[in-house]
Amino acid sequence: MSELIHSRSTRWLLAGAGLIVTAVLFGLPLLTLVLASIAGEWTRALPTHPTLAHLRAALGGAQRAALWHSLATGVGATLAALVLGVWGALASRDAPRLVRRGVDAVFLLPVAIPSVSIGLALLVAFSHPPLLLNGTVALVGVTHVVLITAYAYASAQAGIARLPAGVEEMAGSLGATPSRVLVRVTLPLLLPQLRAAAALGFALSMGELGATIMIYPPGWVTAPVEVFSLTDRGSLFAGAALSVWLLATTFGALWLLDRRGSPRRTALARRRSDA
Amino acid sequence: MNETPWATPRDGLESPQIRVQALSVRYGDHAVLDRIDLSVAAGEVVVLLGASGSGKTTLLRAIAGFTAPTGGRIALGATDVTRAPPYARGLGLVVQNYALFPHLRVADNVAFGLRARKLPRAQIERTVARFLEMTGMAAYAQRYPRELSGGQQQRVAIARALAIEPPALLLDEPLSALDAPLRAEMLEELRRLHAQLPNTAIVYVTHDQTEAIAIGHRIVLLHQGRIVADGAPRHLHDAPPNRYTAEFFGQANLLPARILDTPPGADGARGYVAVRIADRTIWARRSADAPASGEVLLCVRPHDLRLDADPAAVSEGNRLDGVVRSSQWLGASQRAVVDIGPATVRVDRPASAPLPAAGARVQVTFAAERAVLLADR
Repeated sequence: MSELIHSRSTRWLLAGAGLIVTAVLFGLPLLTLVLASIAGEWTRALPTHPTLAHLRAALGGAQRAALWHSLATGVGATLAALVLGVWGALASRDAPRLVRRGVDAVFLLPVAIPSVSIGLALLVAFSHPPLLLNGTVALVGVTHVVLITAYAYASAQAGIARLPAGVEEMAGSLGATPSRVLVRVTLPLLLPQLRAAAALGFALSMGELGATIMIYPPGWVTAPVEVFSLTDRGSLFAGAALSVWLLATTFGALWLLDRRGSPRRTALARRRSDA
Repeated sequence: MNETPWATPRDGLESPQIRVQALSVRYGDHAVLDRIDLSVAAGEVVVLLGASGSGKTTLLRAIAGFTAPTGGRIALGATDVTRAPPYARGLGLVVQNYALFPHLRVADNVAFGLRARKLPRAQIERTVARFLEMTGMAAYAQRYPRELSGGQQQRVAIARALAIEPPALLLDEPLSALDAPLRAEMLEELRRLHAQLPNTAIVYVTHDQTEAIAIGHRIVLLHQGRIVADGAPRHLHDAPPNRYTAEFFGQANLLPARILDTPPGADGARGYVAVRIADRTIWARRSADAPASGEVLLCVRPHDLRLDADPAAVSEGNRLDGVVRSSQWLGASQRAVVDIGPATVRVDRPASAPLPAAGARVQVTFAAERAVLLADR
């Protein structure tokens, strides 16, 4: 078996097969989406009468608002999920096993339940005073936070398990208060995991439809909901155009996150190397 | 160990830097530390020596504030810190795996404790430069820890701990991750650093007696959560107060013996005691807590024994008849294992001596002043 894997021709064959599967499964749908967004007509194998009209239209009116709503919800929900997830992971790390299992379940279960059910459950749960959030933007935010905190929690937990031994204790012995240890040592060391969690959570929030469609108020239509209603009304090209912008926005935000998240240089080090 | 026959530095302490009183750490019924009393004076280097599980690291962690004692008190200077969190104690700590902050450069690692104290920036830079200079790491200020060798990382860890100018430095097996030549170099380095900071007390945890002897003014030997010996390295080596100390410290030979009614003679007059071992009368010193009569243990170090094949050649001193069981050349020395009656002794000899053959009948000889009697417990 290992001989098979190590032979050069087999390696090329495997790489080729992988490339084809990736292209068919992931590339083709994306290509279709992009082609549909610039299609004037699509009656044959390939679209005809290419146009930028759909893409242009998607940057105005209700569709532009939907993009903005998605971006705002995504950023807000990601930040809230990071705070909640890291808090939960830090708080439960030294807890008894049973407590930790309980916290695990609370944070991770939403991933295992259909998002439509989550939406419905939140709708019912927050429909009576004093927790009356029905028909508010806040409920959209809460729903997204509930759906994506699992990723922040799981990533933070993995990061905490990999923290170098003794560094937090060492910071304490050097005179750092617990809050200083958190800000100067623990969180910076969790940064790679938090970045990954933020990217995943944000991407999931940007594309979230199932739960949002149950709870969104009329004034806060998100991009996926708008795409759904456009295609539902038969405006397939307009829906594809908005999807392309949604994709671009998400990638743009993730790219920014990746650039900003590279290891920071502290003040002293910067001064020294500039000198 | 109040019975130790020599004056230890703590006897004369006015205000110790660290004072531990009746300190206990228990997990359920298991006592990791059992009513430990320990004082460390300013400038004193105390080594906590012991096998793994002896409680030495727990004692250090309790002093540092990471392990909460279940009983007893810890004071730093005049301040009781038994319940104080680690960050309020102001002690320098160096651990085996260095625990450098991987996301910070060397200079920022060293500056960490100073920034936590919110000192002025100029003072922080001065102090960081001073301690990096002192540890020979000034050229590496802008490196990240991952770009340094193990020895360099340990130097940074020491600089970081010293930068907060602690009254006491706690070192937990600081050299165990280094290879032997580097360990020797770092030991020398630590002695040099301590000479530059003569008022800093050092508590040094190790399981390595060579390290303990090299650096300690005083060695505190722990066994099963208790202090079994406390004294200067030379004293513990030459006159171990008990069996465990003799065995742990320098791998002493221990021979069962019975104290004789001291006959009048030159040796008795000089303070030696006569004992019976394998039909021979042997003279030895008596340790402070050895019984005055009955069964005792004769403790003699392998390098204090000599081998002689010709009984006529030995005219003076103690001698025992034995049969060589095995012998081995070890490079700088050779070691013979000799059966003496039911007991066995190890004899270390110069490498240049002829290697005795297994089965050869020999005489094992040693001076009375190099042999000490211990209580058999």
